[in-house]
Amino acid sequence: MNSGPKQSTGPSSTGGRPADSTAGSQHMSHAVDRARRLRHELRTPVAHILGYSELLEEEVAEHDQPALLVEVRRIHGLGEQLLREVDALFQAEPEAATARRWRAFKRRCRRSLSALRESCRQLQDAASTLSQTNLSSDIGNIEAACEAMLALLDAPQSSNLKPAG
Amino acid sequence: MLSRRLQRRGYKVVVAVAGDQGVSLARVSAPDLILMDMSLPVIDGWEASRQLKAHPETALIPIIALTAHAMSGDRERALSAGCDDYDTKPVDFARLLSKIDALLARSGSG
Repeated sequence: MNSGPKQSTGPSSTGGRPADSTAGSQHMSHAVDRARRLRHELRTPVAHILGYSELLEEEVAEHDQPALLVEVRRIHGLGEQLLREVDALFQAEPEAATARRWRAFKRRCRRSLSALRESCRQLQDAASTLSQTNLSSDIGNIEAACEAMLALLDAPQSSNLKPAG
Repeated sequence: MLSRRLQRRGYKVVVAVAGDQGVSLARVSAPDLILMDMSLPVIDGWEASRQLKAHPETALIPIIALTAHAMSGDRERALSAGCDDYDTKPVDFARLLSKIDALLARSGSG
């Protein structure tokens, strides 16, 4: 079944305006693609932070370690905050995600990531003190996700990836 | 990470790291359900889902599409590729478990 969008093929329908409108829609399509790619790239490390912190929460709860649970939940909360930041950046139309908003977004993300890394350090120390060395690799995975997100925010290509405006 | 969480819940999990591998593995191991990452290398999750649903041996295996895109239209795109349900990453684990249980119950594997 052919139910796709109708295409203009006749000369009478390909004057100046449709050509302009094609260029405009291509520009819009690129902006949407760019926003989509950036959103995906930013959400991936956040998904790791949230996933590994939930995994840690399950493991810590199983071993009945309330002292560790507080820090794990703090990490999870910071991950949720990052997710809200990413989603808020793209909530409006891609064109609305201007360079100024992008810079403010990066500042806020860096703050959260810095707090996350500090929490990971504290959790590693506390886990080590309590001989919960099984948690170490998952904490390391969260730290790696923080580094990945920082690299994404700082990478030269992020200026190509950043929303238009 | 997701496989570890599922294993902790008692699920037996086999993992493929590329779309073509996922299609082959599904034919060999005939899983009760497939969690399909849509950003897989070699062939992506959209194409892997189409291939699985087009093959009689794997057509009835429920597929839940997982994507970090979370853009409008992704759900419809996943369903049109043959996926039975759709969820976004970061995964809400409780919600995913309820989707898994619902699909397993529907297919009689639960």
